[in-house]
Amino acid sequence: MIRRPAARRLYYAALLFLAILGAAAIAAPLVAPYSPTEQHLDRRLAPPSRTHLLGTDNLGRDLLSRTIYGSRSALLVGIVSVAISALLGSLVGLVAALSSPSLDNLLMLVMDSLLSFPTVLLAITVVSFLGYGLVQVMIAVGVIYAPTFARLVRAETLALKNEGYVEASQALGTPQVLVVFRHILPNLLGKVVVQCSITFALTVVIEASLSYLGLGAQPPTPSWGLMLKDARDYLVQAPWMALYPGLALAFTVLCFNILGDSLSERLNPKL
Amino acid sequence: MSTPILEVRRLEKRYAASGILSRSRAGLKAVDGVSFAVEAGSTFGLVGESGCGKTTLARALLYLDPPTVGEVLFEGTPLGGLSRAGLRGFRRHMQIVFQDPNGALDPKMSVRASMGEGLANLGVPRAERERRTAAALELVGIQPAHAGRYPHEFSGGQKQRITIARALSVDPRLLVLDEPVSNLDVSIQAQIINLLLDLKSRLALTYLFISHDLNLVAYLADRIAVMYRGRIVELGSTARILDSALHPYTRRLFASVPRLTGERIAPKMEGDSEAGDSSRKGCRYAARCERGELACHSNDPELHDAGGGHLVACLLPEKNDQGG
Repeated sequence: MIRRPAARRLYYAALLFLAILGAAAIAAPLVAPYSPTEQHLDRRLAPPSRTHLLGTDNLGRDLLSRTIYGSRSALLVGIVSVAISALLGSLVGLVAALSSPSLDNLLMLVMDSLLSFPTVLLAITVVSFLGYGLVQVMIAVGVIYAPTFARLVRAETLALKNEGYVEASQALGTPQVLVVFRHILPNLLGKVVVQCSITFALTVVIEASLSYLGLGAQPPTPSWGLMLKDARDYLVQAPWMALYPGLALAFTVLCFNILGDSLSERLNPKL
Repeated sequence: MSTPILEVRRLEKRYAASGILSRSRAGLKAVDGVSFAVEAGSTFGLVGESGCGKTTLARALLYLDPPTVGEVLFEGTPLGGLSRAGLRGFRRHMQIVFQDPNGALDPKMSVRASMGEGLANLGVPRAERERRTAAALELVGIQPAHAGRYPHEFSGGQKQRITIARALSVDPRLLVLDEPVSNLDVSIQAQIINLLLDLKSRLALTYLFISHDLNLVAYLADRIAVMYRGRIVELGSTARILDSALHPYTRRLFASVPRLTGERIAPKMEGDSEAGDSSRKGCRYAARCERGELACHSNDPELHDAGGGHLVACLLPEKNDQGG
């Protein structure tokens, strides 16, 4: 339980924001006032007004609609790539911790070499191999963040392996595979969930970066990164073009980080 | 004499300093050629300071971390010769209670689930499992109605009772107690010790009691083995060890027990106690020993019979220098 009331309020605020964001992403066609790709060429670069709450971009597209639809790319990439990295990384980490030292060394060597590359650079490399697009970004980001999970799960498993209850279970004649599923995995879960939340924030940033670079979402698909890229040339004329997708991005990342911190406090009985 | 319930023969546990960059090829011998036998129905005490290999020995003889060399025989059956499944089936006969009751129960499992695990492994149906779990809890003084609770809802002493009940749930014949009371308050310690004594007589158990506390071991055990740096340095009946300890280390252990008679506490021991690398020569106690002679630094004493089954590993087991 989080003891400080301020931290608890922050946690609920973050949860609320993410819930609204998620709901907006799912219900985008119902919530968005316009189609995200519909161009109103007579109303290009319009400042926020009644008809366009957040203004329009250089092609006269409604920014509110595009920001709402853009959350779909961000969250979709986040969910899929976090799922990929959590599953892949946890599997590698578990196998490394429970197998022979030589396989452990090999697996962790691969993971460490992946970690040694700058994330965005590695993402660009992977995407260049797989081709441009959101699906490729999901795979790339999923693979890139797998080592963090592998390290975490390996370290936790090594520690849990020597816990009294794991040894006691072994002494009671439980087969090894069952020991892993019954005692090790459930006790790992909390830490993995926290890592998922933090990784989610990172993947949202990576998705935006890659789209900004033109390697992720392809126009006219709405994506925050792509919107920021379009906004670059109109920063003086139409600062709102950059402001709203930028704010959406920043708040999403912030909220996932707050969520991760709060969860780690909640799930850690020692704090 | 009948077959001892547990026999350990020249058991060694080595830890290789693994990794491609490590220099030491010899590794660390945490347990170095330990042999002893435990008679059914008795309590065998194993004493030694922290780091001497007591816990490693316990884990090795239960095959939780199989020994590097040596044999463990349970009622004459060598455990090393069993298949994986065979070993699993054998485990119900020998159970262990750990030092730290807080880590010994899965925090995510109710007491009922933790307790039922061993019986489930034996294929006992659920209803029967719950009945036997309740009986085992009652035996150790925990209300069976509390079986649905989680470990954090119990105190340290209660948790230790629960781990004892869990160990007993599969009807073992041998219980290895690895410092079962060291992490508990003194008042709780006495309760747990009395519980253990009570259980032993009621269920005809055999105990292997491991502790750093010589007095406690002397109170409980029929025979005592004193361990120092991975080896047994003295082994004999409790009476013999108490009255006429031969090894200087055993004497030192007795002398280090604080008493209320106003005598000065024995001077601090010099030298380190970590299990050293196996390459060194001579008696491993020589550096700390007040009897130490030149021979002690070059000859490693073997455990030999000093009469009446009292074994000692010392080159100079003089009997006449008994002080306080």
